[in-house]
Amino acid sequence: MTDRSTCETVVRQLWQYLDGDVPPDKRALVQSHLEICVGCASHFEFAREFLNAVASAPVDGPADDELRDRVLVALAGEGFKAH
Amino acid sequence: MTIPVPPDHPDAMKAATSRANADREFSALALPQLNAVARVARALTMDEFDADDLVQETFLRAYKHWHTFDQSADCRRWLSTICRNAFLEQRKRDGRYTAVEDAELESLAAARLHNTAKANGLDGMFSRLDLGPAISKAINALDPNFRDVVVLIDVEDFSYEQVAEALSIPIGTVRSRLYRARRALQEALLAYAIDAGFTTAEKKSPPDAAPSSRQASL
Repeated sequence: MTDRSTCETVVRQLWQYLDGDVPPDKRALVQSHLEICVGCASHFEFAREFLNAVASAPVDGPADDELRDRVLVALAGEGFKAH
Repeated sequence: MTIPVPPDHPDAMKAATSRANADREFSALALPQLNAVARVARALTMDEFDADDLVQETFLRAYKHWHTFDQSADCRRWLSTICRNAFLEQRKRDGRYTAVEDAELESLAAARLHNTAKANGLDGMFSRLDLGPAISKAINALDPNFRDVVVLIDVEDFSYEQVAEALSIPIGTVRSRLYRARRALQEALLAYAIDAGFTTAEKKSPPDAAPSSRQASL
């Protein structure tokens, strides 16, 4: 089925499907539709690539030298020597 | 009573060597993850001071249990787990938010955004372009409630359940915030890619004017 309502039903599951958060019966429907509908498959692929890019984005954390020093002092109290 | 081992005794020397090795490994593998742990801690505690305490506690626990760390495993994940466990043990907080289930609407919005990207020749923007720094910047610019959920789930790989428990919010709220955060990120990154001139389409379309494919109506 590649009618418009199936496309919409499937695309509505996009995030939950990619997160592994849809029940098995719905999952099967999405899976089989994606095999035959290039348009919907491309939406899923785009979202998947987005998630991969987010997961591998560099860490731009809030840590600073002060926190690092504090952690090192606490570790030194446990006998740790930095190398 | 334990009789102290003299420092030049072979057992004492062996222990000192193994300790020095452990410290070297800890310095090489765990300490470089300080920023990553700090970010998880800030996302969990939503408070700078509590976050710093949590980072310190995480590294102390990690150091004490360093001998249990499998060095072929991902140290960042290991530290994230310690951080989360430490947080859960320390925390006494009640849920405060109401869940809003809008996963499906956000999914439709994601498809529409994809159509806009395609119309601007940016179909492969996330696989083709190096958006790493722009993604980090966009994550940091999110409202803290949204940022924390996307950092914990999409970057640090926590499950919905783990985040719901850690932040004391219903799982529906976790989903809702996650999807909205993803949408905000996608919109910010698409705008960035267009502004940066990565677009290859001859004619730009306004955000809601999707191409004339079947999916355009989604």
